[in-house]
Amino acid sequence: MSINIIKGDVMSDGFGITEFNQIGGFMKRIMWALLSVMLVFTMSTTAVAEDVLDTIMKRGTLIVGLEAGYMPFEMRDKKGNIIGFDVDMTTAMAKAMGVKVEYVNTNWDGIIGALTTNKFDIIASGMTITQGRNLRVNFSSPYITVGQTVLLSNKLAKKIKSYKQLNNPKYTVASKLGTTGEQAVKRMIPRAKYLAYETEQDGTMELINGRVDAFVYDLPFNAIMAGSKGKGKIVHLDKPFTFEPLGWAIRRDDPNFLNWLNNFMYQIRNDGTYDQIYAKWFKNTDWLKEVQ
Amino acid sequence: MLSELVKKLLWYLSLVLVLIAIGWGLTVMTDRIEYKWYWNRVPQYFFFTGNIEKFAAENGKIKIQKIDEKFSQVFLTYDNGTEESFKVLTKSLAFKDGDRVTDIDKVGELQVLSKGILIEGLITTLELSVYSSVLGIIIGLFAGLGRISKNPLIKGLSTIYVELIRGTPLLVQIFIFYFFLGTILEFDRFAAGTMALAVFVGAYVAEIVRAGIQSVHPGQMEAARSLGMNYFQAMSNIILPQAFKRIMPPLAGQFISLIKDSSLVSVIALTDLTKAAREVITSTFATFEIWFTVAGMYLVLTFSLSLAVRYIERRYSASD
Repeated sequence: MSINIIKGDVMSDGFGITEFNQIGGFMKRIMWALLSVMLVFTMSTTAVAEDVLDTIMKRGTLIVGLEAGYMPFEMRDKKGNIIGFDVDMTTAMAKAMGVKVEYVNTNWDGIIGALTTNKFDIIASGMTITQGRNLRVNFSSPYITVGQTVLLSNKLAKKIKSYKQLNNPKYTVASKLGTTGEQAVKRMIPRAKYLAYETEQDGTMELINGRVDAFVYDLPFNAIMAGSKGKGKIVHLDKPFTFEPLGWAIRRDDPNFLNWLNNFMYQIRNDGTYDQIYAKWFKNTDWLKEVQ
Repeated sequence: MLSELVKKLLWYLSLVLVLIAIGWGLTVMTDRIEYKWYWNRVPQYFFFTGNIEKFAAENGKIKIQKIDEKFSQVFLTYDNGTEESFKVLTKSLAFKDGDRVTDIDKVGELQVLSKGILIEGLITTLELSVYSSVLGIIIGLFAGLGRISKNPLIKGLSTIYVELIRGTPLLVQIFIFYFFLGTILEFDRFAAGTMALAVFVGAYVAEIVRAGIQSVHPGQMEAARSLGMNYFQAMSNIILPQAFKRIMPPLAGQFISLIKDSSLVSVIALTDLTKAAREVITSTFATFEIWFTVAGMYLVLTFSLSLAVRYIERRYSASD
């Protein structure tokens, strides 16, 4: 059957070249568009196992994903640059590779999603190695071990001596969305009322203003917060109640990059580089002046 | 006649084909990044049969009455005089009849069909949208009337309100409402979120209402006044009903936007649908599945509103 748009009558009963030529111009263009769209999608090749080291070498830059805010691992200084323990480690990494380094500041709860969708090569953001996360990404050997501790509002300081006492619906506990702090609260003090904040700063500000009772987060951050902004207003219960090794996260199916990272880690742990960086950020507090 | 029908059919067919092509293209592209789809992990976040633990609220004594093999009724008499009673699964009972309990003791478990976090987020989004829409209409109506008032005080205040709220981002307004006003005046986060959204939508409704009123022929007001009505009677009986019909489409658009803008309250730790999605993603990493599901849920909400408004428009246009 051919379609005669002008006259509107049925002519033959086949769909041959004459009929094709008689289709109105606009309709034809639509059909070609459809065909080309389908062709483009067919042309996409099947996935090839990626070699990130090759990509980095070719590109000349190592792209690192992190979220600035977790003191002292990564944070913004007064000039707006990102500084911190992870920053120094990845700078050493890039130097060892012979490339430049670039940082992509990403929201924490979307950071693994961004890694798996190729937005950066590696996550160096004080990320805890959990078995749940390990199902989706690979981790390097841990570069430091921390644990969760509790920042407590002053009004509860006399009553609460351990995180276990917070396991009661009359207490409101806060942490950051998507972190192991949040997982620790849900796992170990599930009866407490829980609020998830977008950033550490929002959560600790709420605590300092007295609108939540406690903030659960990693030991290094809590120690710094209690000693600076929170002095006099909050109390730090500094006995960690979880065991959390931190590592660098990379995409799966890449044994080359993992091998490189682990060997790099072994090298810097033993030649003094690691000790130097560690002392700068954890033993010294000169960097605090840059940040506040 | 027949070729008209055939033409239309072919257009619909090409619509279906384009949609299929896009869907297929997306699947092919996700294959390239080797994403594993785990759709089976999504339903548990809607509804799930979970074991909820039942606790004693205070120190006291427990009495147990077995109902049948599966369930037992627990009676708690607390030292402070209050009482409590609930059902638990017999096999989960942690105490015997006549034992003493303290306020941290788990008494037993109950299997309950509970709402998952996505449903709770949906309910929060719905509540936020409904309350702030209603408040927003009231605020917007008065602000819109204020904008055309001859009184300099009322006109000035309304204009400042509209310009200020339309000129600043909603996210900034939410922060100010909660962290600033909320701390001073001690709102809780739901109230702060609702008010921020209501004030935000009110500014846009004000301008829509003003446009609607001004589009009604001035002769209507003159006729009403000459019939002896005062300003308020003329407005409420003659002008506003006519204006209402005209402003239905942009007003509907505004409230559909509100449903979507309500996702910004996640910054003040209110779990709306978008935040619920992010929380699920952090524990399952089923990024694509959850986002598509939640987009679909928003679509259901906004499309229902859209249909409802279309229905109202049809009913009202009967008077044309």
